[in-house]
Amino acid sequence: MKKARLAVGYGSICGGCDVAFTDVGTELVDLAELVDIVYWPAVVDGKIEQLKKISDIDIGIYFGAVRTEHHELVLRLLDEKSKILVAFGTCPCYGGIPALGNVETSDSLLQTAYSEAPNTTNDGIPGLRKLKRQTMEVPRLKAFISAPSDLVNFDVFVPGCPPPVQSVSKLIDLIRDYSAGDPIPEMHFIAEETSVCDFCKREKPEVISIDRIMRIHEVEFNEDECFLSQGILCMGPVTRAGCGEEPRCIQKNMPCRGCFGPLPKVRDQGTKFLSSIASSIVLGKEKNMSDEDLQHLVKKQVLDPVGQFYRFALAVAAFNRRYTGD
Amino acid sequence: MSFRPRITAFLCQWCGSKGADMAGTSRMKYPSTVTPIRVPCTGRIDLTHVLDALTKSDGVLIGGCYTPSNCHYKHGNYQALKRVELLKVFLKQMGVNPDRVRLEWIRASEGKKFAETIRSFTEQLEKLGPLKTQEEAMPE
Amino acid sequence: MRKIVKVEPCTRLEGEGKINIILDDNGDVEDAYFQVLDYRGYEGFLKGRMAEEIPRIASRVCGVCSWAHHMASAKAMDRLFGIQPTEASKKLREMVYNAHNLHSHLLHFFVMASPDFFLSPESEPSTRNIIGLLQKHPEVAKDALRYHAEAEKIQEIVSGKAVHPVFVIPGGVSKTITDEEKRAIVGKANEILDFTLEMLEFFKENVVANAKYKDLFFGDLYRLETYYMGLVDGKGQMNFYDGELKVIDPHGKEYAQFLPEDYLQHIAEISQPWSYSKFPYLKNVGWKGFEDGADSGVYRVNSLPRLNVTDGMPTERADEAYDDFVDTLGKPAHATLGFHWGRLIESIYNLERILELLDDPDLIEGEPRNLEGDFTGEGIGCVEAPRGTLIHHYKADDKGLVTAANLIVPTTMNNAAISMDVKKAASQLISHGNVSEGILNRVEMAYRAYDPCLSCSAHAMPGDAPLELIFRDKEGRVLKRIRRRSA
Ligand code: SF4
Ligand code: SF4
Ligand code: SF4
Ligand code: FES
Repeated sequence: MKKARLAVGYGSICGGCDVAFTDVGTELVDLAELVDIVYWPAVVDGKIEQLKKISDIDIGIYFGAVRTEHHELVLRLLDEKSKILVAFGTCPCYGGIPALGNVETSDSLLQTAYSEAPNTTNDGIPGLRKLKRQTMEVPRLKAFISAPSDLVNFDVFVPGCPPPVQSVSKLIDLIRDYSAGDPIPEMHFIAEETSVCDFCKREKPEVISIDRIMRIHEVEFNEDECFLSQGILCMGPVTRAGCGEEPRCIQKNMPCRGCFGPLPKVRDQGTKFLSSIASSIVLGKEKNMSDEDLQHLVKKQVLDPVGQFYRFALAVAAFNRRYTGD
Repeated sequence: MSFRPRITAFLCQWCGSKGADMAGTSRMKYPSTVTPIRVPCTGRIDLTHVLDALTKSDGVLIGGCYTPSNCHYKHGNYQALKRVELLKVFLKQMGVNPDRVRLEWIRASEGKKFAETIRSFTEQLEKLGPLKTQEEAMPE
Repeated sequence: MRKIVKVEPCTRLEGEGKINIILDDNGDVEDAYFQVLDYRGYEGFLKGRMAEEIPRIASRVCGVCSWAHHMASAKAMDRLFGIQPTEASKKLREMVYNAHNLHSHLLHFFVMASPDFFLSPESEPSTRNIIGLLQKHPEVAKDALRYHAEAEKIQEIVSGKAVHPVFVIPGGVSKTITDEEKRAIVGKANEILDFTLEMLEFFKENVVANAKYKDLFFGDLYRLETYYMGLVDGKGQMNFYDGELKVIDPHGKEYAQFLPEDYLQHIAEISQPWSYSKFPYLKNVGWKGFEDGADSGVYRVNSLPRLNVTDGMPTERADEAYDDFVDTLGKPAHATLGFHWGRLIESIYNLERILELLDDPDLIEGEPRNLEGDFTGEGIGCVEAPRGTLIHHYKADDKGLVTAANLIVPTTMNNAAISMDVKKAASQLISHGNVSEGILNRVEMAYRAYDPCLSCSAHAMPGDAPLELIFRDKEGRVLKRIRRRSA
């Protein structure tokens, strides 16, 4: 059997995906036997010039989101040279939590950390414009963070922040099958095609009407009842399943925050949830209220739609970055 | 050069849309800034489309049946009211003036109200100017 | 003419971290700087978020020590909401937090650092990684991967997710554990403890007692005399979850001990335009630039500093290992490579502490959460992350939305020291513009001891970092390159 040629490249990452990868333990040994690692800045020499020279990559895996120009270059090179391109983690699939930074401008993010921090003196702010000390320069930040999946076409998606160990095993299986000559289905997700709710064992009513949205530190959670019907925000209905036989967070008595990204066919996870939660607020009781009271009630109860509904997929949302001028 | 705002209008086929027709047939004057889109009911409008429209124009108008009782699908207009309110909270977080999205109840017979709404919305958007992304706003 | 030698990237995170070595007119080392090149702006976008949700967002600052950020921010939120966590939840938090530290230490020690030791530092670089280790010491490497994965499972049992947990909420935890879960954890902890004790012996025999490494431990190449900081409990002994911050001076004398809430009186930071990472220092000593010694405010955190500030270890076998360490390296120990040894000793403590805490029936029967409290609007939380002291500080408005966030992360605290250690190593290996090939390994080992986590982020996956030296003139033109051959 001919060994597949594997290359791995990085964008802006938190490192959690790498840890998840090593958490498959001894299966890594199988992977090492299965492929020739032609580029992986961890394992073999990983200069970008080298990636430019390599051709014929069978499988290219990309971790992280695109934050700097350098990240984009690595992504484009991998895309160009790989037969199968894999997005590993929520960051390359949907932008992930780092893309929540798009709620601010890059400039103001830098200002906050370097000028507003309570105990910081600055000898210069690194950043947006190239600043140098002698010739030591930092790469320029892009104006906003993008999801790699918006920039190139991936063949395989491994969502999850980070993906569970089972997904890593499945990816290794996929690589094995591919090496044996099996084709990979188009736009293949290592996840389910239904929602987190479909895998959730909690009791849920037909119709959910919420009088007051509760915050997690305010109430005790009933472990057998749907979070939403207890008035606690849960992204299960709009989130793709696949994080576990029983959804990982729900099983530990915490509501889903949507890390597996939108359901199949849903383009914008946050907007979808926003619509449905708005409907659920005092559903069926609207007639007793004035328009103003109703509007007020909605506004008062939902304090942070960006952080709650777009937490993992802001980068691929219809409105995906900060606007200015208004 | 004066700025001419573009408005996308999602109009319910029963009310908002008829109001617009009425304004047209009675030759009421209103600025030609509007691209109308007819929808079955305001409760059916997908907010993703509203956001998409907003990235391509300067303001979005949603016109539906008068609350409380006029919606042909019972409470579609209530859903729209609550959703748009919440959408505005989101828009504000993203640096967009929430006034760029406007919800109005326009009865089928109210051609005048439709024309009035477009006029005042256009004026308001003229004051706000075009919607800019960060990169567009950045000098250099 | 001033020249700059660039060593990049300094972990596998191409483009994210770089070492610049600046040569003076004679071609000798004038300065060395460790640069962090990615910036994600958490302090900016944590603002506006609901305070109680922060522990699930801030963990993404770093996936390698996600529990540290989860825990530090959650402890800050206990205070911000004024909700005192229940006794049971405090024990559960500490138990799982020790498991996290263990997991991180095992990953770093075996996957990243051990190839430097268990394979000779002169061995062919392309095999000096976990894959090479698998060939030379297959038993050790396989066991290491296996027990590392087992440590991961302890966290998963408790929180559903080992990375980016969902466990801690203001006032407690989401759930206690079951009896069955407890037994599973005890089983794993005992097994890993046996393995770690064995590895400590292996390390002592093969590395500490090995003449080849003598220089690395006792020579001047990797040695800085700085201040040290770490959390200690009421008895002045090591604790990862809670306590007071103790600082000792380069001679080992106590310099300060304070509550984490008072950190602003003791720690300040300075930024430089060429790095996205800031440089913290002891405020009352002052910033004197990249210098060691008692007059410079540079301090270090992480395993060796924690062992330097503690009065012995709170558990039995860790304490024995600690005595051995002190006998060999002295107290305070200044040898940068002592960080690795320290990680093994701490892993033993983590395991003993896990077992000790699991003895308490409260972890199963106790109350997971408390809901009562008075909102204060401000909170500071501090833990010992695997890489050192971590502080999270938040303010919120009366709706409980965050208005200010300040994070001081351990890699940042060691930032100046890393540059200094690199400079030291480089100075001895570069003279009159002659750079020996060995510098690649040596420089690598200097920063790897700190287990640097760039933008408190990346950690390396199997193996070691590729390096390249770039000689540049003042205008940035490339004069010469030395690079490691690829596999
Ligand atoms: S998907 Fe999550 S775990 Fe993976 S790099 Fe992104 S933030 Fe980290
Ligand atoms: S909303 Fe959440 S708690 Fe309710 S059924 Fe769906 S996943 Fe389960
Ligand atoms: S329950 Fe939701 S947030 Fe939690 S792991 Fe699953 S998809 Fe992610
Ligand atoms: S039918 Fe017009 S708003 Fe529902």
